[in-house]
Amino acid sequence: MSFEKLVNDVRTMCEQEKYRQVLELFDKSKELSLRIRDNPDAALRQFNPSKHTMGYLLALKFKLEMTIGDPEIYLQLMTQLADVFHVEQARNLIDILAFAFHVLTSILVERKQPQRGLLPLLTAIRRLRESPSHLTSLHPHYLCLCLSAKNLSAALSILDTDIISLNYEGPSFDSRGFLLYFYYGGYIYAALKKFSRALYFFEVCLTTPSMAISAIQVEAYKKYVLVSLLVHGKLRTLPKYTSHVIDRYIRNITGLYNELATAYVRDKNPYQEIQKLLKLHGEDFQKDQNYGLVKQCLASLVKRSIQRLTKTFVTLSLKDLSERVGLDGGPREAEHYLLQMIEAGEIHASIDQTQGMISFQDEQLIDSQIVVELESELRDCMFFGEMLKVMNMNLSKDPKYVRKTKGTGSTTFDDPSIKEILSV
Amino acid sequence: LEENIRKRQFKQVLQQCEEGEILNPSGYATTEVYMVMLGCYLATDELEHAKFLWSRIPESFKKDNPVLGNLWNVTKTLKERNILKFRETMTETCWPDNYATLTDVITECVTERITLLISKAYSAIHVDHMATLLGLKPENAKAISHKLGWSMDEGTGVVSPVLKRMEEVEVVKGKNIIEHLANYVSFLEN
Repeated sequence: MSFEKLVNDVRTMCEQEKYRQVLELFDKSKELSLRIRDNPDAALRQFNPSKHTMGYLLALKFKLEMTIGDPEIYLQLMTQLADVFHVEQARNLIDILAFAFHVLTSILVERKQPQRGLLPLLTAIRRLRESPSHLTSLHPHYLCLCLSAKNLSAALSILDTDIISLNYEGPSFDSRGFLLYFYYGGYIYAALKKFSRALYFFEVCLTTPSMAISAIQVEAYKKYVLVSLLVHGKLRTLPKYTSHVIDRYIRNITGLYNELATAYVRDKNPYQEIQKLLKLHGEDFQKDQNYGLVKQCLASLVKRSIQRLTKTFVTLSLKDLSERVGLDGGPREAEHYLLQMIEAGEIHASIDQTQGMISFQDEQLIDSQIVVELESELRDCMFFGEMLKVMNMNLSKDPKYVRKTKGTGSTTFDDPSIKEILSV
Repeated sequence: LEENIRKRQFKQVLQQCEEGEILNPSGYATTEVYMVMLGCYLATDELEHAKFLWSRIPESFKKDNPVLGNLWNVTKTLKERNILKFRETMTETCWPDNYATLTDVITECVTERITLLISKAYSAIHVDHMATLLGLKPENAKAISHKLGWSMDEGTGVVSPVLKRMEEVEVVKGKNIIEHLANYVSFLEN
């Protein structure tokens, strides 16, 4: 069969939505593969990226295996592809699309132009995902570029929506992409000092079902320790559903950070202990890019001491507070810290400057604020409740699940009980 | 954009500017867009975003447009929480006319934030200390406290701030209230 005939066949099959046949043709036809390998650029020109996306991507795959050529041209090619690819066809070859964007990400990071990749990747993600809460294999590449470009607000448009399902991409969606998404997400939120959200992201990364510990999870754990100290004042234990292998071995690998967590909660001289660790292991923290977080942990010790006092006292003088916390600057410095903490909502207190006294109070909720917050929380609960119902329904109809729970060992769908369930 | 800044619709303005930055093929925005973004981050006290914005603005932009550097100097004073220096920098810098609204709004927002903090944090504060926190002269601080309806003892110069009540927000209106409540009750019961 001539090359032109083969190309025509691919084009026709793409237009007729015969996607499996396109893949079979490429697998079987050595002629097609050889001709494309000889001149991938010419092969790319044979296929329209919007109508014959599968042919285009398969030709692109051969091109990427050989040489990318001019990076500028490659960037233009990918920007155009992101705008026009046929979504259904692209979903059949998502692994090639993800690899193509991975190559683009690497090129742009190397050339120190990561900001140029944000638009094509964001466009591709928005077109490919089934809904904003679906994760695709392109998400981690986008976050990597956002971090590299220091454009963290661009990342928030993706990160602020909770991920509740994976875009169906067959066996090509690997765990690395999933772990990287949550690691980068936690990193970005920590950089923006949104520590609660960062902690959640690192926790998801660490609680991913695992048979072995990934290097990504090791780095995530180090940051998890530091962010946990900032949010909760102690190292929060990982949830019960964390994989056994993580729970058992990760602390041994990250000994320095556990040492820091222990020093943080000491009653006596935690500040000096952490400073000692910083002096001894400053280079290790720098290498892990955690030096800034460690310094923030150190600075937060004063605030932790003040927060502990709110649990014991209802009123306290500024002088007393400064002495108990150990502030060299005296009442002035205490007032300065209090103002910062009141502004951030970390404590609720009122200072009477005439008497030099502080009154610690419970959180004062204002009526309309309570209603708005309650409304929002309830809406979220209702949404997740509905979603869990749908997921439960879909799972109970899944043949694999039914087979397992029934324990019949049946491999066909002739079992009447299965038929009954599937007919629902 | 200027109209939205005047109306304090910062979220909208930032969304527009951030999209503009990504949509540009070079990945960079214009000086005006960077100024507006930086200004909005200062008005909304998002200093972390301001810091990352400054670090990604190309050096050539900073060199060719000293107004960006001036606004960054203002950012530094807010990061140091030095309100006196903030006001000095704002008044002593010669801002181009097209940024007059932006700089006015930044100053107003910072003043409002500090007065809100004072009303939350203090049950009694000396007017001189209030003036220091606001970066103003005591007479101006007195005027602000009068405007906000805070009582002041002229003899001792002690001001008693009052926490401003948030405006009542009507979450659901009219006939929908019953449907809304019924949905909630049904969900909670089941």
